Amino acid sequence: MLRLIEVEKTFRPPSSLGREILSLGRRGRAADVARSVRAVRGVSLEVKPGEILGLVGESGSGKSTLGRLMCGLLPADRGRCLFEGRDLAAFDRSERRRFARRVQFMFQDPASSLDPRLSARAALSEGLVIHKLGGRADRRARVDQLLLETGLDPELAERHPHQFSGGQRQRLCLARALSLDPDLLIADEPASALDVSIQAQIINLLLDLKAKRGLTMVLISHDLALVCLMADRAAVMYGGLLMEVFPRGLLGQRDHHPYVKALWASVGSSSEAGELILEGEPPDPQNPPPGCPFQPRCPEAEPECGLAVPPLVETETGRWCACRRRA
Amino acid sequence: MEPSSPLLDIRDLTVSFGDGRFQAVKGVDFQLFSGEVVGLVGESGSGKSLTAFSLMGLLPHGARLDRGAMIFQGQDLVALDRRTRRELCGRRMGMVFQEPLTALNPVLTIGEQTAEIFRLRDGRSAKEARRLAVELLGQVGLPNPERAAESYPHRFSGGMRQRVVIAMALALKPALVIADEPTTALDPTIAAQIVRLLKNMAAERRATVLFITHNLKLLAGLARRVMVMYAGRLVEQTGADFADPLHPYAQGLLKAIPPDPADRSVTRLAPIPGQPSSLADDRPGCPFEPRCPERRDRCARELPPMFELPDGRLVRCFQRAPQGDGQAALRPAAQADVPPCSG
Repeated sequence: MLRLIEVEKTFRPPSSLGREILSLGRRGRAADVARSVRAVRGVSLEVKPGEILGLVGESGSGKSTLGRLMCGLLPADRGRCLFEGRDLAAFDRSERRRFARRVQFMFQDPASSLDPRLSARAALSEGLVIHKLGGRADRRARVDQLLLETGLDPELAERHPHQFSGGQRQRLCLARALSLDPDLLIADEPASALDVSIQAQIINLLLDLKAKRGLTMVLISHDLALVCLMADRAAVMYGGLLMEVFPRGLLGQRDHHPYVKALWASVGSSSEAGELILEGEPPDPQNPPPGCPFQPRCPEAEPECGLAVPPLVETETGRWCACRRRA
Repeated sequence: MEPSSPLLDIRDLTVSFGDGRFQAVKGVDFQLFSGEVVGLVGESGSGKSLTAFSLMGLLPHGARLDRGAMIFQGQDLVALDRRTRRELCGRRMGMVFQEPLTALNPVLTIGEQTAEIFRLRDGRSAKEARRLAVELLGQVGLPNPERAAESYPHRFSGGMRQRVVIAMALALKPALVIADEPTTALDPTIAAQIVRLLKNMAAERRATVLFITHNLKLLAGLARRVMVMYAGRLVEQTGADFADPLHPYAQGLLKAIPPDPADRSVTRLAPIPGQPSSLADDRPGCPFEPRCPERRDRCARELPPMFELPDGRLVRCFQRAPQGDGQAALRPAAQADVPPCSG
């Protein structure tokens, strides 16, 4: 459905003035010199129709940037992003409009992604109005139905975002994303801003709606346990690159990428966790280490790992791994 | 069952907002003993952070300590005058905050703010304080502590900042360290490092740790006891093994988090229905009753007391009362049904 081919995204420092301000160190010593941030460093990935693809990574791994590249919120610097075979960058106006309808994005923070001045009804009908779908009465009925579908009382439709709880706001965001009946939903950390007992409600709702509407979904999360629960396939990112892509059924079987092993230990049962605490910090995206980005923290690293970025290769059916030692 | 007298004994702690109209902490009782690590679990609004802030004397504007005693090393913190309390809290208690960036002063270097503790509280000379600060920064695992001391907080990653905050909390070898969601702002692999660091640093200094979190998984292998709060009240106190909690709320919490990924039999989560209880909610019965799968008529009318089970666990639920009927309540102090004294 969606295919990324060697996409790259680099964020450049603001302006020369910004750079000067950032470089004023203590007592006039040059300290920080702003450099470009290579957020996504060449990722190829496919989203298959009907699946939930989980995109896992820590902050700064490039997972959210990749999500934004997927739905055209950000243009790729290099590489191609194909939706049903057509390059996003080559879309004309009407294609872009159609694409915007079929691919929806759900943001992490429900409080800041809803317009505080719009009532729930206005927020949910905005897309319908823009895409000229249905008359006034149709839109009313449609919004009521969306609210019901996401577990909200249509009576609440005239309320504004601040009158809803966090969990209800996230339901609103989901209802808004579904209002145009998309084929692909990209959900960026849909539950992480919520309390534990509410998280599960949203996760189950996503699973139900996915099944009911036959949605394709990209789930972006830092929680490997959540991704393994929801997703058909997991793609694990680190330092702007994919480390491993595997179907859910293969988790925990045989030779995982060392980073996946460590992540697993951090969410799995406690006995393993004690032995597998990674030292060091994730790479600085302004100054990534040479070769494999995980190499400075990798318990299995060899000198050769610092020479070149290991390619993502298929190590068994359906599993792709970017590790020299597993190639 | 516990040896010696407690390090900290909290009795009937009650904190409210709006001149006593909204009670956020409702008669909390617990004890902490020397050298143990105790987990305090709850969702936002459960009162867990306010409990910690009351201890440190850092209640936010608008919050008021209505009643209760906090006996720390034999002294009631509530009764102390401001100066004595400040001196005591600064020296014998340390706090690790949730968000390390806001806990650090952005216009002072790491070294300056760490050394300040030794200068102000320990009366060390500037030079000596600096030497101690650098040594401490090395102990919490900052690479190149000499240089780190010269740097400002914004130059560090979240994990490194949290190491600095831990260093500052433990600088004077306090008897009690309160860690309020210390890993919530961090990535999983970094969170694991920070938990290990806190555990080791506290053990070396024989400090008691009150570890506040909403993440149940973190507490496995860390805490000796776990206390659960809901709507301002303690609802359960159990042993280290939190895999098998008693209270329906605690059971629900555990089922609501994604299981160990190795367990592929689970394909859906089991959420707790409804919304967390709000501050304005002053129902007479059990606060969890509207969301509870095991509620009875009685639960809506009457607040269950803390029942003590034969194995020493405490639970605030009629359905878990030890054999014989719930009237055999064992913790009279926990029955905070008395209206607030003021107002």
